[in-house]
Amino acid sequence: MFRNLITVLVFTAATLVATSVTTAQPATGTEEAPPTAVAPTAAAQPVADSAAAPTAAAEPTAAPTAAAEPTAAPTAAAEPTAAKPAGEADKAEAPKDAKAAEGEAVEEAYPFTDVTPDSYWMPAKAADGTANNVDWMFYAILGLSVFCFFAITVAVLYLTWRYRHREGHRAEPSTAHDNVLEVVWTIIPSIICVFIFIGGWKGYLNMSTAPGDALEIQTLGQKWNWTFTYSKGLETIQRPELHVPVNRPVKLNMRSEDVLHSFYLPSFRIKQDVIPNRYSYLWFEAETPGVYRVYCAEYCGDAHSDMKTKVVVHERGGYEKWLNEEYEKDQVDCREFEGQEREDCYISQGQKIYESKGCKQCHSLDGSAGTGPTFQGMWGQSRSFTNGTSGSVDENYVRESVLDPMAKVRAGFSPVMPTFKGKLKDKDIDALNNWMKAL
Amino acid sequence: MSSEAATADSVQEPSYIDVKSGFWSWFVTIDHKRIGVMYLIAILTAFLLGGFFALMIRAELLLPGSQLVTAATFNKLFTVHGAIMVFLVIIPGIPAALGNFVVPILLGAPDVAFPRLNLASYYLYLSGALLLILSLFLGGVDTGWTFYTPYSTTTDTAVVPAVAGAFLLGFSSIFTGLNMIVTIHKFKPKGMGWFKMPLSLWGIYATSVIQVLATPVLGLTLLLLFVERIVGIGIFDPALGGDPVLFQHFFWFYSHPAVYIMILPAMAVMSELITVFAKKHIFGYSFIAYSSIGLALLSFLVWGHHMFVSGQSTLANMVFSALTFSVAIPSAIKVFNWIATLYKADIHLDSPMIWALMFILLFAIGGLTGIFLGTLNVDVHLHDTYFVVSHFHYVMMGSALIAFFGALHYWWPKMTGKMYAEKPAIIMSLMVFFSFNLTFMPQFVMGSRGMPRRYFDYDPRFELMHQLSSLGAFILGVTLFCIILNLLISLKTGKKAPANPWGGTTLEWQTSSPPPLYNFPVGQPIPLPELYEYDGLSKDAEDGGWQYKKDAGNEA
Amino acid sequence: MSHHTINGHDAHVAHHFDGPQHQFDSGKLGMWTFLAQEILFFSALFVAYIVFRYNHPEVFAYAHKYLDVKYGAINTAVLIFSSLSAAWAVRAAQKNQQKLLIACLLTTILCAFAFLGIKYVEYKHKFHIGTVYGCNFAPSETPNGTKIDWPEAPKGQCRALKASEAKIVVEPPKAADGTPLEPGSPEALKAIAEADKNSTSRYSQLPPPNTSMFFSIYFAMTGLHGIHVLAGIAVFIWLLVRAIKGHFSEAYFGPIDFAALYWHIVDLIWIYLFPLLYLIH
Repeated sequence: MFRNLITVLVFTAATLVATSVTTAQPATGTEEAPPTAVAPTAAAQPVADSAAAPTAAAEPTAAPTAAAEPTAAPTAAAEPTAAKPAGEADKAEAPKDAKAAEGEAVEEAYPFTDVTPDSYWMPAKAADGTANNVDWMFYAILGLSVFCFFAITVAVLYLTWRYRHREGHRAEPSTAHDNVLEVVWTIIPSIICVFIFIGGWKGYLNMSTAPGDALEIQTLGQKWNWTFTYSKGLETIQRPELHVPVNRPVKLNMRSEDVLHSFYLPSFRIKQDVIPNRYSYLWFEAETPGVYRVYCAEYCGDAHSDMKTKVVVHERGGYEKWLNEEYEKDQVDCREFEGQEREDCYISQGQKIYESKGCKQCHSLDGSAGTGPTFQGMWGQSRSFTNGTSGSVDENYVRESVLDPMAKVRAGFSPVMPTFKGKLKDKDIDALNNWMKAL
Repeated sequence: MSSEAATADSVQEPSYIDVKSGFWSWFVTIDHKRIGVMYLIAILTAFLLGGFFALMIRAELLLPGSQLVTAATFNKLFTVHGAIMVFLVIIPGIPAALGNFVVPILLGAPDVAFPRLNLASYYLYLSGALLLILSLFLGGVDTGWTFYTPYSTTTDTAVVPAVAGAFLLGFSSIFTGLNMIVTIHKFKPKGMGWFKMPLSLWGIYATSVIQVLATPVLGLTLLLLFVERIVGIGIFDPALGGDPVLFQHFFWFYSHPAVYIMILPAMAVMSELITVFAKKHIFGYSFIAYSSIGLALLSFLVWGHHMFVSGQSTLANMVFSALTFSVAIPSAIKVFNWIATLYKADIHLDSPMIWALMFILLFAIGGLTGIFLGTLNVDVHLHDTYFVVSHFHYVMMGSALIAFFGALHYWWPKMTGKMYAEKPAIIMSLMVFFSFNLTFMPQFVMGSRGMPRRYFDYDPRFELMHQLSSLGAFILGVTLFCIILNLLISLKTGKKAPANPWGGTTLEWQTSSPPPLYNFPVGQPIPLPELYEYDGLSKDAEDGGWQYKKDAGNEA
Repeated sequence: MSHHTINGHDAHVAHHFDGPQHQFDSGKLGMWTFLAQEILFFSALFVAYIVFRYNHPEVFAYAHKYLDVKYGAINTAVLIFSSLSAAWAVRAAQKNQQKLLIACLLTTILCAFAFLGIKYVEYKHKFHIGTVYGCNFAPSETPNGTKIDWPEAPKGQCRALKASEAKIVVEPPKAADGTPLEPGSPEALKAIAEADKNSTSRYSQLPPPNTSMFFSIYFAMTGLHGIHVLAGIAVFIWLLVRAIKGHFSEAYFGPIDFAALYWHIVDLIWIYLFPLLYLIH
């Protein structure tokens, strides 16, 4: 928030200065006097803060981490599952607020650690390798640009003021062309450009060539979620979040199921478009354990801005541990249990599938229609379909909708759901059915 | 030909506005000036519409989550905002509206080479515009103005009329460019060689070359998209082995040069304005002229820099990045020459000059931030974020549109014969500068911090930046509306404009304001003053404008 | 310094030109500029062709055999001849030979119709055997005429994507006149051996994946070219009417010259299309 405050001042001042000087009139100065200007803006700030608070609370750590001073960030960035000295206290109160505010409890197993940007211009950094290259080039060009811009501005303003029209003032005779000057101001920018190009090109080569021993993770983008397939021996598990080990190159083999997407990892300064019927690749090596943001950067339709997930960088050894645990979780087959245990198992498994397989992005649980109909109060109801027929929502309907979504599309909704054939096993559909029944 | 017969009644020829009246006299006119004015009306209307959509977008983004509209509507809003601003406003802005009006006059010609084709271009423009508007009534389009496949081939929104509209607009642009090329080649008066042409003609000429050579590729691409939607031709369909990324290549092969269709005429008229109001010969005439042609040619070679993360090969990325930097040089040359023109000048700070100086500063920002995006590894981070959004708004709006408004204020007295109120014009142009920067500066910071573009909902940490941006946008919207209002009010209450209100040396200022039907009195000699030589001019004409001193003579 | 003049005399010279030569020169430059635009318009399709042929050479090597070189060659000849008659029309106008002018224009129009007629026959055949663009691609035979059983697709689904279920139909041996041969007879065995020899040919086998892309390109290119031929016909009919009215002379033949230029470009594009689609290996 403090940084934002500075931003406001910088922008207001900068634009005001620039505006007032364009006319070659002396700057009025009233808007600029810094000590007096700070006070009212600062006073106004808490209002904005409190307005932002409920939203921030939805992200459990957003508020606390933001409040913490920058030096605390590395601590919070430590192995998220094991060590959470700072996170513990936050989680205790934050989810409560979130429940109250949103009605939808977001149980964050892996809260973000990059909420506070590391710097004014750049998001938190998860790796030095490529990110440092990018940041270095960015700041170098920024410095150059600021210098050039101020030089141009000063030149324009000074000359405009110096040679402004006054009574009796005429243009003084001076040459209208000077080839030496032209050559100089052609050559110098050209040389600078060559250096910038080479810098960018070398940095890019590093980020585009994956080392041979990289850990490969299959990445699938579809409207509007990501699915990561992790290999454990010959078996695979699929998760909607990206988990990677620290200090090991990771290569994503990416493919899209429908339209173009773009896998964007701001904290690693990389992105790559994801294309249907063609593989594209992205590699990175995380150096700081923590949880970072993943966005879809290529416009892909209604829920484009919701097509986000997180990348969890595990501490040394943590990734393997996580993979084993998750693999075990996948082996749960509720049919092995009896009675109440089986019911509970179905409900927890169903909820897990709902959240992890991408149902959540389109189907709400609170009664609001998203891209697809809400699941709330749906079970057993009669529904009409776009093909003119109607039927009740039961085990068979759910199963059919999961495996062949186009067969019966609810009237009033677009036929956009992808099939989950091969992604959900029979036991998963069982769990979904039982979970929905209990909703 | 029959100059003796004509001189008798040539003393007071009626202006092109008075020569005929009534709806029909405008509807089927082939007079380039009337067609230019009709373009102007259509473009300003489209501008207000596009601006309204922009404000809706900014209002929605005041807070994270849904405020005014749904995500689907938001997507349609930014699509139609982009399509209107690019295809209906900025591309035809200077070449078709102002260029149509002034190019023949700058040449001392009675009309463009193909007047009927000119009218046809206008009606192509109008039909294209109506199809775009029609798509709004058919539910809108949600593809983004870029129409990327396979999203555009699979979405169930009204892509077909929008694409058809853009196709017609493309051909309108091609025919305008063709007309300008032939007009400039074949209608130069005796004594005006290529390097005695006003710089705005160089700019329009370079623009026209791009219009003629790049727009057909867009036309074909849109045609393929159209055919894909109608019968499923399959060329962009990945399921059938088609290539959706090929669409991007085709699209940017046009749309990068299109950026220069927007900015080259802007640079050209700014060169004109700076020398006129600095009352000093433009510095480095030939370098400015050559850099226009250079930019036009180079603009065809850099489309790949829009696709650094699209899956293009590493080699292609390297080549496109290198070529992209070569585009920076001609732009830089122009900026330096403009600044050099101010040296030892006599700068009159009339409102068009304020726009021109603003243009230099905003264009500098637009150009310098382009360096970030041409740099390969930095672009990988910044691509498709608000940094890009802000960069191209600095170029398209901060530069091209600002230049359009500057040029409009410059030629308004010539077009309408009326002077607008100067004080409000200056104050509001400064407001534009302030609010424009307030709108788009925060977007640079958001972008480099990782805020992706075309997002309906966003992370709360970007809230303040978005609010600053929206605040700026609202001020900007109101100000631009007032600017147009100020111009319109002048039609009613404005003072009569002198023939040469700014002291220009180009030909349009050597005829009355507004000019007669054939631009100059028929049968009389057309004076061709020495280009950009202001020594003989002084502001003491009877009508309140500038004129050549009697003893100095006005002939070259 | 020049005097500002407005042309008011010559019926064929518009008001803003200095004279007939000025008008002709402007028109010619305009036409060349337009043709540059035309070339760029087609260029995108040629690029698409290059990209797909580079990515799927096997598709082009196989699918071009579906095209009949005979039709393509006749059409090439027809178009080249029509270009000649268009050029001759310009010459006739310049020399004031009114009847020859009308004859040349008429020949050009008839050739253009002949071209479209042959194209229609080709298109019709392609729709008949199912070698078309996009999802409707479902050939009922291979380039060698071997029958294919291409599965139907449920309504709303893409039939071209059923390629994996398509099968070559093995037909019982038949005599030359089409009567079925008695199974096991020497004639039948001979026919089967013959068929076997044929079936080893690449062109007796199922099309490679994505073969529909060839026809997407084929229909896009020839279709766009066909639209240009249609536009040419309209222009030449307009010229024919004006020629019959006696508008053209050695002093005024610009429109014929410009239309002929356009027609040469349309011809030239076909001269590239013919080898690229019909004659490749």
